[in-house]
Amino acid sequence: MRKLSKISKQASDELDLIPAESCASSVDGQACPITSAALVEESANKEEKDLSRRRFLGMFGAVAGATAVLGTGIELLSYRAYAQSLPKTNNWTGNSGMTGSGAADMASTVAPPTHQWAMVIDLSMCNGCGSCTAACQKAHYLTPDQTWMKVFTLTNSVGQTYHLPRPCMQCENPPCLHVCPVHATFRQDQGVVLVNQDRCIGCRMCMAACPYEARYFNWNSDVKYPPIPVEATPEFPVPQRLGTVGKCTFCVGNLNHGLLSECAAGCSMGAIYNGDLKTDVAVNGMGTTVKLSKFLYEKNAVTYKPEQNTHPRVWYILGAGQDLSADASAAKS
Amino acid sequence: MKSLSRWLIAAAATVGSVLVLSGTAVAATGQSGAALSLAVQPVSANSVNLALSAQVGSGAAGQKVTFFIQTQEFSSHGWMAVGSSTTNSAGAASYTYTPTWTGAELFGAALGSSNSVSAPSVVKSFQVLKDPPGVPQSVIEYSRPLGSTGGVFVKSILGVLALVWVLLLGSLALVVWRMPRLAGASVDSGRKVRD
Amino acid sequence: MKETDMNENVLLDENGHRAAQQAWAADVRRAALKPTIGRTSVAWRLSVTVLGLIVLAGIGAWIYQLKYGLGAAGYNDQAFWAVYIVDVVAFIGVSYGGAVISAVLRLTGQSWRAPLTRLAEGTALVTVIIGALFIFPHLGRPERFWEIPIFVNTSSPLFWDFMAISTYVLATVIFFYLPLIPDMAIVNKTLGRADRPVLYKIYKVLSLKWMGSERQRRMLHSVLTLISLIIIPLAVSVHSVLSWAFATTSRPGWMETVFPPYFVIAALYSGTALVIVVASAFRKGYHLERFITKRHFVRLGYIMAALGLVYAYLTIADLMSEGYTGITSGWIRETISGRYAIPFWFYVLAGEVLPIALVAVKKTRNIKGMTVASIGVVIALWIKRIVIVLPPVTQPLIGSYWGTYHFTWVSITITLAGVAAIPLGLMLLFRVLPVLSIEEMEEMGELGSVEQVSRETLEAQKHLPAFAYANGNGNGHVNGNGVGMPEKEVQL
Repeated sequence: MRKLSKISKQASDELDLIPAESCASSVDGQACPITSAALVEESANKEEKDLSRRRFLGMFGAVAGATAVLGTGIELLSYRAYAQSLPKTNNWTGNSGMTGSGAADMASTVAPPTHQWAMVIDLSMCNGCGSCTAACQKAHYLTPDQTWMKVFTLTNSVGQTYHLPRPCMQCENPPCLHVCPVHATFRQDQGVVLVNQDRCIGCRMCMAACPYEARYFNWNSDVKYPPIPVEATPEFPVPQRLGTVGKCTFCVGNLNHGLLSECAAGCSMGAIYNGDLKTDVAVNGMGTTVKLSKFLYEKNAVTYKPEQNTHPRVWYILGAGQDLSADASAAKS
Repeated sequence: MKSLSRWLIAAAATVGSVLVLSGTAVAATGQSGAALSLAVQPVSANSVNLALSAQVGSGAAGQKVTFFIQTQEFSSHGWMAVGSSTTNSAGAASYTYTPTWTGAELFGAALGSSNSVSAPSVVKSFQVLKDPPGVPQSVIEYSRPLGSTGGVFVKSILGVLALVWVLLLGSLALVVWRMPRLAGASVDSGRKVRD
Repeated sequence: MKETDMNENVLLDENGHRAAQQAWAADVRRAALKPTIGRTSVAWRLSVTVLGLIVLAGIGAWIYQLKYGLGAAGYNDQAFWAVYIVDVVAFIGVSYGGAVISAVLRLTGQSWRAPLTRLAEGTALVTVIIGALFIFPHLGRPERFWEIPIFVNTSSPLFWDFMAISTYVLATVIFFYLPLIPDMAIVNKTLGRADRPVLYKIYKVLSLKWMGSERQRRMLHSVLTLISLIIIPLAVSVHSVLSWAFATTSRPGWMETVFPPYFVIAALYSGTALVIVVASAFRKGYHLERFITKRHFVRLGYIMAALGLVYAYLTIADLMSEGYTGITSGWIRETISGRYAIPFWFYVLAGEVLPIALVAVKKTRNIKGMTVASIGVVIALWIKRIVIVLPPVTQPLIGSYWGTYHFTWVSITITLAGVAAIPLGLMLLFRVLPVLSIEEMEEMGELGSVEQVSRETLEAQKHLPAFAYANGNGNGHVNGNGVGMPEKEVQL
């Protein structure tokens, strides 16, 4: 572990990461303006990209070789070494309408942990309209069966139905990350679990491991994507690669730009809150701002399937009679 | 829940760290009738915590006061109720708050419980220069039963695997290297290849 | 054959023994080498063509799948693992037959194994390669396979699958090669270089100047014993690791403590069955009736039946606790009485009841019976793997919507190509290599062994089998068919 942190530090030094002063914490609170400094950084970044990638590959190869030879165990090659050495490429900003701005922030896999993203879903507010799913699919150009944000209609123990929106839980102990044989799944420093579709071999072990069915594979080559001016990144994997796994990214690019995730913004009931464990704030699409820890405590928030040892960063607030036990709902087929 | 509470504990445990808090200007924009004033100051000299103190002008005891902070998260500029307390006999209510981000922050207070009021009636600006360090821990902290022994486990299995490869390739190499040299030896005792 | 002849056989004097031995050796060589010399028969060429076309069709289907995505093979998000992972498990599983027949019987000194070892090891080699190749259609991005040993994640079960399978392939190749060393020398001595100069050269290099000297023999034996000792725990561990790719997920139906032995026994069971099928086919097709006899089939049948009973026991153990408590039991309900009931009960009938009955009833305990039983086992065990894989994959982890896997022409063609590749691989293999392990069989033909085998068989079957000879000039034939089979004159 000690060795690793040294390597990681070196990697971040070498890559000369742009310190991502998050726009969200800037005083005016508006989306990042296009500053000349940002543009300079962006162009420099592009030139540096190839070099960085090569350096990264070399470094990573050396680490991998050392592992193979020495067999130094589980910790040596954690997601972190990989995540910190990812090249920063994207300036695509999703559906937010901003293009070209804040390129480094948006694409940087290594944002300094000024944020720890979380989500709260108030089930008592959810009416199952599916607008979160629609907004997500539109923003990420998903096929109809790729429901990164999926609303399940479940039955509780007294026979009433309720709705359960299910994003990726962004587990702090993600099973999908542990089983990935090539570190294609990694967890960046803001706590968001992402998939590098340029690395994924498509073994679908992560789909087997995920207890929330949150992962979706790109099965067919006939998906049409509109022309998109930038390369796909783990934060915004559009267009998705055939034969690789995709999943909810928490719209981490949006969040880092002071915007809500597509599902939270699209929820007309205000049931979905984007939260930040670091600043202890959660905001929903209606603009309701709550103190996250207080909100969770007062509303008796729960995580889904706590027995799975996954420690999700998505909390649910239950309404009357709701029952998050998977078995109770699954048994009533 | 676990991670959150643990992180908050970690934040609270950093009370001893050096914090420089400044700013005393009161910007009361009272639109409410009740005279309410708000003061923000560090709990103690080096504390990370802020004491939010409200004074109800009439001095009435037992009134609920809710304290707010304006968030910049998600560009919402929403007023976030951070907590509430009840005035004492002198009409003073206070709440200890740990700021979670730095910069010029707007604090506020309003009479009423957090369920009944959603915006402050009195606002005060305060420059927070530092917030508690520390972030929620990463995944490696979570132990699986085999996680703590994982390194040793992996190394020993890789060792066994290496031994198997050495044995397999070694015996092949031994045969390839040694077999031709044994060809001529003790012809008589052996059964030679017949035509 | 009459009883008196056989008694004489045991009481032969030394010259008689030598003559018998030479006759035996000549017969073995003729039978073993016949497929490798001269022009191939029409049937052989026809079979190779048909099988080759099926394999080519499979490759074509795979290229189609590469172009259009795994969706073309019927996969979807609620059936994300299906037929290809079943093929990986099933094909690597059947390669264990080689490990059992060869390594276990070698270590336990079962000399009757000799005519089977080459076939068993060849089957092991061919099937383990096919099984390992099935990983490629399974992957969505097969061209990135090289990343597994480069971007090592030791906490991934798939990394250990990779390590285990590659180690097992290596061991299988070595285990196939080592007994070939004397045989290649014998083949070169017997056939000369004139007709087959290229093969002669290759054999010359690979046979490592084998003279059959005592020290060479001793060395080969000890190395083979060592490899046998390694390959058995290796075989067990490979399938355990394969099972952990399933059992280390939290899916009900996969997260089972019974999985490693469950997979190992399934592999041994289907592997033994496949060896019986292969032995039966090659016995007929390559005219090995004199060497592979009813005795072999019955003994393999006993082994298979015993493994089948253990497998039935493990199947019940797998279903019992969750089925009783009803916790996470949706997959059990669907397996026993729901959408997977037909394949499951097919397995029970064709994979357990039928083979065990055929072994149990004396009347069917013969070559035909054992062949039918083992064909049933091989097919049923493939289907059983489907029943192990699909219910936990398609079950809903949230809600109650069950997924469905649709077989498509792509997945069926690729799987059939794998099936066809077994006989194709074996036929091509035995076009250049002797189909019998000549060295081992000749050793068995030595006097001591003959007597040992004879006594053993006398006790077991109340008649003497094996090694009759006619006149010692090398034209004698051996009748090993036993009482159940008509004696047949086999000419080369």
